[in-house]
Amino acid sequence: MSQMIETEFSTPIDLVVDDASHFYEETKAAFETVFPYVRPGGIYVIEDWSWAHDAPAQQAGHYWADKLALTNLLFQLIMLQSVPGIIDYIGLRPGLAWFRKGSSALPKGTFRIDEHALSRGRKLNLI
Amino acid sequence: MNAATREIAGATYKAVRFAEHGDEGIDGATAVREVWPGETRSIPEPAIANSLPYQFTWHGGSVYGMPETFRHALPLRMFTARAAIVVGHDGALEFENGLFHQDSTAFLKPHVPSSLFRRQDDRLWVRSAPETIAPTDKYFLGFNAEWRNYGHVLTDVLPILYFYKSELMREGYKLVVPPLPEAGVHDQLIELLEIDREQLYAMPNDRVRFNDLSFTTAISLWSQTGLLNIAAEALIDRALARAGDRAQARHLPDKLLYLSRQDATTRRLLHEPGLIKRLERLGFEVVLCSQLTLEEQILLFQQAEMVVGPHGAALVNLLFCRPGARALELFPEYCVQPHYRGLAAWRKLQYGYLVGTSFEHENSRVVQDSWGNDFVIDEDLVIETVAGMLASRSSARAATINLGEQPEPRPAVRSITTSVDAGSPPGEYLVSDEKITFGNFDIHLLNGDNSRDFVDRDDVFFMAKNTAYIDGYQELKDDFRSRSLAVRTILEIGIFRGGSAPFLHRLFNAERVVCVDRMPGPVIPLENYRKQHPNVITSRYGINQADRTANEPDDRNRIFHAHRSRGR
Repeated sequence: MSQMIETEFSTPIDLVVDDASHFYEETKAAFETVFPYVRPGGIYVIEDWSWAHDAPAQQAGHYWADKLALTNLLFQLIMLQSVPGIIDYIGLRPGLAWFRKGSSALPKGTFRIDEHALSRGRKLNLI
Repeated sequence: MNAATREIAGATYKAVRFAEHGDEGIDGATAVREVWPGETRSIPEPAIANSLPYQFTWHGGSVYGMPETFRHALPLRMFTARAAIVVGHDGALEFENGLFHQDSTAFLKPHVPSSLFRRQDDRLWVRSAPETIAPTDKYFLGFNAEWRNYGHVLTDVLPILYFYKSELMREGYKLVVPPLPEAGVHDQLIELLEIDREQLYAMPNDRVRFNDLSFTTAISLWSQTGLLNIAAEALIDRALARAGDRAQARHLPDKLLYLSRQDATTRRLLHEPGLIKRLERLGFEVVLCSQLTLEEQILLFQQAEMVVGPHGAALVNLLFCRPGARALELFPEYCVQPHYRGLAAWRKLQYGYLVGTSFEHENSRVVQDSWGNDFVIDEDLVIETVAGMLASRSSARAATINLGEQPEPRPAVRSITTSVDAGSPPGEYLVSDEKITFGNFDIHLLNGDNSRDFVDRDDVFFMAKNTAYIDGYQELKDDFRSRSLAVRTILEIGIFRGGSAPFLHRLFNAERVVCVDRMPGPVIPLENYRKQHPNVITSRYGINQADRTANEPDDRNRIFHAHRSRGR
């Protein structure tokens, strides 16, 4: 992803829309890779964050039964908002979440949410 | 012995020469009727992976099929020869003038010992004797050289048998069928189609002379007639009727089937057990089609919601799926061809495919070419694709949105003026539950479970977002505007049917929209839009969102693109 961005964009990105896998790990990896390329004040959208809470997804045989909820990433990004300069606003609608980039420059390639969202050594139980 | 004959293994063979085809007939036979010419209707392009090239690989080389042959059903032409010879179990046809019908030799297997054909010095030879003479009557040729192959029998021979059953049987024609008592699936077709066994003429493995023999143009998926669908429906009806209560008890198609090739000697998926384990967790059951009768396969595939399998004859059972069922074909690297894609289009299925990597394994059967090589494929990608294809049916997304929408009734159509990003011209869009319209440009919206209506439509734009999403994006636009910021550059991760990129472009009046997707692509509607806006839209396929560095497609996709680019 990072090489693709370096190739395709000569300036910071104004708007990112992630409507891809909707899986926790993949979406988190994409966020960590791409968010540093978003300009301050730009917006990163994550679509369909709430699939794990739909009625069909509660079935044991659901085709994403072994996948972690994308909501886990939202919880972590809420914690990340406590750090000044990274995310300065979070918008939430059914199926649509967005994160407005703060003024801090984030390290490209090495930005990791878990390293910034401090939580007193305690870990979220992922659902 | 002259040049036209030779001794091979103690028997006399003569050189095969082919008859000329003309508009009116063949040199040696007369065209006597044209069947169901009205069946030249168009058939839709398959869904999901609509990028499978008509180019395919064959024995390591590249071949192009004619796209039109997959899109239109052709009429079936019947010819009659006054005296002709059918050659043994090969079903090939020699006319009174000594010339051969070229179509009927297309699938000969001269290396099979029981074949009366041999290849030597790049020429085709045929046993010149002995010869049997069939009792005087009028006959119709009801098989070809592929009558042992389950896939070919269904696509090539079934329509001919159905034609015989519905037109010629009552006219008193005798049906010429394969020679062996173990006629297998061919015989099961005879049974299911309720063809009168009194009217069968079973070939001996010999050359048989008929005084009045009718036959048709060769049928294959490359030149298919509308009879295939009709014949398949007839078979399905008959199988359901015979199953009686068992069939009546069944409900909506809900079976997820994985077609194993574990009993095959070629093109085996080397890590199949691992993949099966993961598919079973999604509710798939493993099917070994070779263990089932034709009737059992028909009933099973009637209940299939999704079928996944490596390229092979079992996939011909897609013929028996209900319209809208999903099919995912797994290709070895050197065996990519659109045979079943065409079949899926005929049956209005949602079709997808993935290409693996062919693999020389120490247990691989030694084959003369790479066509039969075993292969490996990215399991994660298979699972992800399966989930994606199933999601379009009763998507979590649709459920979420429907719930969220209920409290707020909205007018059927409303108008929103989108004035302006800094420096952008004012724009306006109309939105209804069905579509969003920018000027005269429509993008269809998710509305309940309608995504299935659009997965095979390359001619319209569709995005899996409903009006609630439009509201959300309008809020984002207002947010940018309130801060006097323009949205000039957009990165979209996840392309799906390609309608959302034009939406983002138009809504935000962006200068550049880069779209990436893990699937090999291309997504036709997006590519059409990109061609109209070459400086704005960029599409990049084969890039995984979880791959932090990638700029190039995964290996499997590079292989795929290499296949494509070779012919361009």
